[in-house]
Amino acid sequence: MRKLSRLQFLVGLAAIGALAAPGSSIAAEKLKVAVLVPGLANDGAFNQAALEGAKKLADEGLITFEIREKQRDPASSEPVIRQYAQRGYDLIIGHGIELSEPILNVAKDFPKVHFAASGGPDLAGKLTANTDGWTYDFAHYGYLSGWVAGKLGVSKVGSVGGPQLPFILAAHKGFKGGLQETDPSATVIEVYTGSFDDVQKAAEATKGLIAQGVQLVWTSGDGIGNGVAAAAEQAGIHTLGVTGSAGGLAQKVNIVSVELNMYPTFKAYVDAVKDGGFGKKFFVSGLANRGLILTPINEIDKRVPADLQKQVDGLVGELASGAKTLPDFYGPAK
Amino acid sequence: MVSRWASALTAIGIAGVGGTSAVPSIDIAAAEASWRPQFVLTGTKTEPTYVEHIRLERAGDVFVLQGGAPAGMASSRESVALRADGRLVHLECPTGMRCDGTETPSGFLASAAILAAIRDRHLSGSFPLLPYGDLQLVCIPAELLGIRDPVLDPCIEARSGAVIAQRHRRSGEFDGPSLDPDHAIDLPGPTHVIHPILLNVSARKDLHA
Repeated sequence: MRKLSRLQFLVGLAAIGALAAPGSSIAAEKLKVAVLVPGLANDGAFNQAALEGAKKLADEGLITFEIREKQRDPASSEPVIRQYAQRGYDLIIGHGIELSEPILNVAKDFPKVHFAASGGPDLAGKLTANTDGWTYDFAHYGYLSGWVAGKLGVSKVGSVGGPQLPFILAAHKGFKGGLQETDPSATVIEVYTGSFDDVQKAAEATKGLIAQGVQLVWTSGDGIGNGVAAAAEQAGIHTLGVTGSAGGLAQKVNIVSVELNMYPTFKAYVDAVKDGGFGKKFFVSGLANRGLILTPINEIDKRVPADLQKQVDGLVGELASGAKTLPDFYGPAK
Repeated sequence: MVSRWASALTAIGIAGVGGTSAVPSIDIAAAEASWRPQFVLTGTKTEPTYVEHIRLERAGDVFVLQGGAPAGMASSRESVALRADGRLVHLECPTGMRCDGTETPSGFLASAAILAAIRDRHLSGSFPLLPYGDLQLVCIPAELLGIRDPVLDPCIEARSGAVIAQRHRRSGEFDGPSLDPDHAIDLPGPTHVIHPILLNVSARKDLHA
């Protein structure tokens, strides 16, 4: 994760390593793209982000694509990837860490086909002349939530996390950084339940925060968000970061969350294939390249500025231009 | 083993014949008698920005849960044991978690709490079977496990006793920490042999100490 922190300062879609095109430019043609996802493409979450990114490119007339679901198992996904390569696909995207090694394995045997893998920061060092890679910045996930929280004029904010794993800790540091930036007077009370799946612990933790006077609660967890939403609804306060329906409570209590947007990364892949610049590029989705974006704002809280999205767009613009940089959220806790 | 499971299935038939509902049900004690004392459950849960990998293992009366992170990244590990006296004890307690025995596990490790409740006869009777992908689940009202004001009910896979999903009390829908109900769930059959678990005995913490 330390290695990733250096990448977060890169503006836009960052290129790492030497450039080398696996084939000639095919600028005028629609690319034939295969997208493999580990789960179901209509999951409303990680897998669907890939589908929507590809759909948008298809709508723009840049690609035709086929999506293959349930490709979690490398033993079965590798032959599928190989088939796409043999069938003349221009670009094969493995969306998910599970597909990283199969993509890299098959790419060796098809130097004229373009492949894209997902992974952690270590993927950058494994990329070859016909493979690009992608990851996203967990700290930005938290930063944007905190930045929004600070726009709500709340003096005391609660933060509920699950296990104290490095990427979750980075997201929480990002949250505190974002909040501090937009409302330096706001305080955060932070709790980790230690569990990624115990909803009751999250509910109790949230109740404890509410008892201490927090007026808004952010959660970095998805599964435990059910507990946060339940406790918030009981107390009549609002949340940030609850995803899914949470038994119907998300619509009642959650103002906004942060989600993945794969379009910019997929567009960069396609552009690179078309202009002959594909290969050895490692993309980090974050705020600057709109790889992480806000979900539609739930109009349940009058404290939300009417122009919040416009303000977020301003933030993104500053980051993209380099006028603004974010601190290192992956360092030791302060 | 087969006959014990058949006994549980018979209970489905009895409930169906005399029952007030067409929904098949299962006798939880009969089902428990058919469960093997080992399983390894692997699956995934899709988050908005990543796919979380989860592994739940039962080795006798020890349950080990690992997950909370994408594949290849540092993950969380927690384990509990069901003692002969019926008490649940934490063997491994993740950083930041309170493991003082005052709370019943309500996530995937509710598998252990359900087993404990069946053994001490707090949990008995028939429960409806619910389809979940290709699997049949039994959702247990969390109050029967000692959980107050529950948000979700844990749902076990009927043939193994492994908690696979959670059902929301308000919506009645599977929600929260539930494995994706597709091919990711791997519950090995009767011939499966698990690897022995290495327990850090010094890390044991009695829930009721």
